[in-house]
Amino acid sequence: MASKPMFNIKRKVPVSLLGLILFNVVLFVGLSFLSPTFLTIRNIQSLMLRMSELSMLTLAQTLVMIGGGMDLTVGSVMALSGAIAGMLFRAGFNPATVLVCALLGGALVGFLNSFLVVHLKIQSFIATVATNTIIRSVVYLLLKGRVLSAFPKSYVSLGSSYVLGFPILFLAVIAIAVALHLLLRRTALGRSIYAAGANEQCAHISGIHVNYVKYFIFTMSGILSAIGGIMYTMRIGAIIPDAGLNSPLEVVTAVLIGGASVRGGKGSVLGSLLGILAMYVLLNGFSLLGLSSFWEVIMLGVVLIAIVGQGNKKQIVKMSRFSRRKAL
Amino acid sequence: MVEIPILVKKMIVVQNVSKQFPGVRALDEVSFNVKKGHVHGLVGENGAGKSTIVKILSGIYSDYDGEVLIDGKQIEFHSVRDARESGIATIFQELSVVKDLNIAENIFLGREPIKFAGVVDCSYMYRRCREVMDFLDEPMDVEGKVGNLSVASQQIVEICKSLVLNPKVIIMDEPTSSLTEKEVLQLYKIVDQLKERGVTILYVSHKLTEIFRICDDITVLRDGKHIGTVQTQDTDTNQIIQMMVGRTLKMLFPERSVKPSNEILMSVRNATRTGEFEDVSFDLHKGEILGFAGLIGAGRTELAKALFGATKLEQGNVSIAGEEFGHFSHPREAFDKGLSYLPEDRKGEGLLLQSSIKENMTLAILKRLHLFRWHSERRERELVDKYADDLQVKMVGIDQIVEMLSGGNQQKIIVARLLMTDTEVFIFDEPTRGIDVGAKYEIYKIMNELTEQGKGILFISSELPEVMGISDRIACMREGRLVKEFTHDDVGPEAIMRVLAGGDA
Repeated sequence: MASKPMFNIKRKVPVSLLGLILFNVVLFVGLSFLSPTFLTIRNIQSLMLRMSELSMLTLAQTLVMIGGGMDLTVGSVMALSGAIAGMLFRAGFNPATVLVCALLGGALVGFLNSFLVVHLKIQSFIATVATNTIIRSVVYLLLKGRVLSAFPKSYVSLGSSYVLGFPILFLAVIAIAVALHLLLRRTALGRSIYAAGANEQCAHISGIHVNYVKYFIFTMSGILSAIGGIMYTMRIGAIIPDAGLNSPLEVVTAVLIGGASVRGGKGSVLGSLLGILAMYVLLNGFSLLGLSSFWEVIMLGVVLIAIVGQGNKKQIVKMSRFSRRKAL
Repeated sequence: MVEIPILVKKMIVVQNVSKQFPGVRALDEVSFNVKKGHVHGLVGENGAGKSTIVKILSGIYSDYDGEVLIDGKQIEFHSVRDARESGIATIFQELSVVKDLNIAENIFLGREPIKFAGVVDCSYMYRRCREVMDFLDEPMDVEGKVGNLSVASQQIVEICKSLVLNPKVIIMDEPTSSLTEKEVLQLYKIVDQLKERGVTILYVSHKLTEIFRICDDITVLRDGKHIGTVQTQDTDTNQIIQMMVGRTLKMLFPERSVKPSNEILMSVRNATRTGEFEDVSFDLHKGEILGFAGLIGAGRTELAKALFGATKLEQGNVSIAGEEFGHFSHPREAFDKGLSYLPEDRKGEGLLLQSSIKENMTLAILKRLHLFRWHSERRERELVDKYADDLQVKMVGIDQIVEMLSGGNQQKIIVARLLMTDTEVFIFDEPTRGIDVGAKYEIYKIMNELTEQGKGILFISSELPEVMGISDRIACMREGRLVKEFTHDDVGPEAIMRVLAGGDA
C-alpha cells in the first residue's frame, strides 16, 4: 500500500468548497471596489448581525438534508419560538424559563416531524409542508396577527452587543456551527447521519439505528430553528407573525450551494455557511448599489436552478450507460 | 473458408468484430453465425463481451471494427430505431414498461397508430395487440394496467412490444434474471412458440440450464474472444463451463483446509415469518460452511434477514455459542452478539456508493472508533489499510469512492466491514453474484480462511455448482421450508435440483 501524506488538501477541503470560497472572495473584492461603503466596519458588522438567525436555520437544514430529509418548518418554528418568548415575557416569566420554553417549542415541532417521517412513513418534504402551515397558523393565533414587542430591554440589548467588534449573536452562531461540525465529523452519530442519508438500507443493515438518526436530526433542527427565533427577537426587539415566511427557500438554496444534495448523504457545515454568506453579501451588495431587492430573489432562483441542474447533469451522465438501454 | 450449402440460411453473421473501450478491449476479432429460425445461445462470464455484442446488434454502439450482416445485408445502425426498422428487436434485462399505462398503450408507446386529426386509433391498437397475443398463445386483457401484472407478464408485454413490428430477430438479454422458476417455464414456452413461427432468437444468458433447455446452438465468449460455437446436441455442461472459464470445475474452488468440528456454534429452532418461511431449524458447527440452496423465492434471503434482525423474526429461537437470544430486534444487536450478514443486493443494500472505501469499511464499528479522541483518524486509517491489505483490495487508496471499484473489490469492502465486527457466524447472501471468476475464487478463499479460524458460515447461493463446491453440508429450501439436508459428498446436482424444484424429497 502506498503510504499517503497525512494531510491532503483535497481530502480536507473538497474542490467544490474551494470554488465557493473563491466565489465569496470575488464577491467581497468586487463589491469593495464598486461601493465605498461595503468594506466598512459598520457594514460588515451589520451584515454579520443580519445573517445570524438565518445562519441558524441553515445549520438546521444542513443537518436534516445530510440525513436525507428536508425540513420546511424552519421558518415557522423560528416565528413560533419568538412568539412563545414574547408571550411569556409579557406574562412576566423570568428569562431562563422563557428561553427553555421557546427551545422546547422548537424541539416539540421537530419531534412531531420525525414522528411523521419515522412512524407514518411520510416523506419529510410532504410532512413538513403540512406541519409548516399548521405551525404558521398557530403563530398567527398566538400573536392574533399583530406584531409583539414586549421584550425586556436587557434581552434586546444582547442583540446589539459586541465582543472585540464581533456581534455576540454572530459569535454564538460560530460556536454552534463549530459544535455541529464536530458532531458531524468526529462522532459516530455524525457518520451515521451521513450514512443514513446516503443509503438508508445499507445503514440499517450495517447496524445503524436509522430511526434514532431521524428523530435526532429533526428534533435538533427544531431546536436550532428555535435558537434562530430567539436571535431574531434579540436583534429586532419584536416578533412579526410573518417572520421567516420565505426562509425555507433561502435556506435550502444556501445548503444546496454549500454542496448538499436533495438525495442526502452530502453537505457540510462550512459549505452551508459559505452558501448563506454568499447570498447575504449579494443581497447587501444589491442594496448598496441601489438595485431592487427583487433582483436578489430572481438571482436566488437562477442560482438554485443552476446548482441543482448541475448536480442532475452529473447524475445523468453517470446513469447514461444504463439509461440508454432503458430509453428504448 | 468453405462455403456452407444454403440449406440453412444465416440470419446474423458477425465477422471479425472488435470493440475498444478506454483501457479494455471488449471484443477481439469475434466471428460467429446465427442460423435462421434457430434459438442461438450466447454465453460467457461477466465481462466476456456478451452485452457488447448485444449493444452492437441493437444499434446502441455504432463505432466498432469488423462487419455484421443481417439476412445477408451489411448493417450500419446509428440508433436503436435503425435496428428496429431492420427487423431486430431487443428485450433488455431491465424492463421498460410504463406501469400506469395499459398493455396496449405500452405496446404501442411512441408509435401509436393515428387516424383522422391525430386521434389514436384505439380499435386498431387493441386488435393488433390481441393478434400478437394470440400469436404467442398468451391471452391477456389488453386494456388492463401493466402495473398490476407479475414481472413475467410484464416481460411478455415487452416481447409483444417487439413483435408488433414483425421482427426477424429477437435478442433476449438475460431474460430470466428476475423471474421465478414457474415464470421461466412460461418464457420457455413463448420462445418455443416464436421459434415455431420462424423467428430467429439470440438468447443471452449465463445460466447453463436455460441455455441447454432451449437453444439449438451455443456460442461461448471469454474475455472478448470467441471461444467456439457448438451445437447443443453435441456438447454438455462440463464442456461449456470449460470453454467459459478456461479451466475445469475442480479448479474453480479452493481446497477446504479444515473439517468442521462437532461443537455447535449457532442453532436456530422453529424460525417462522408468515408468508416468507416456516418452521426452519438447523445447527451450524464451528468451522463449517452450511450452504443454503434453493430457487429464487424459496425464502432464504428472508430467513437470513430475519435471523440477523433486519426484519422481525415472528417465532423461533436463535442461539449462538450456547447463549439463547430468542430473536434479534436490530442488526446492531446481531453484530454485538456475534452474527453478521452480507446482503445479496451489493449496490442497493451493501454500499454507500458515493462514499470512500474507508467510510464503507468502518460503518459497522463506528462507536468503537472513538472518533472524538486524538489521532482517531490515524488509527482508523491504519485499521482500514490493514484489512484492505489482508483481503488484497485493488484500489488507488482508501479514500477512493467505492462506486469506481470492480464488483469483486466492492464485495471485499463489505466482507472487511463484517470482519471488523469480530463476529463468529457470517451469513453470506449471494456473495459472488455479478463478480468475475477470479474474484469469486478469492471470496471462496476468504470463506475457507474464516472456517480455519473456527468461524461458521451460512452460505446462500442460487448457483448450485458453488454451493456444492464449497459447502460442508447443503440445506435445501423450498417454498419457505427447509426440506432436506445433504452432506457434501453424498449427492449429485441432479438430486438436489429435484428437491429444490419440488420433485421427490
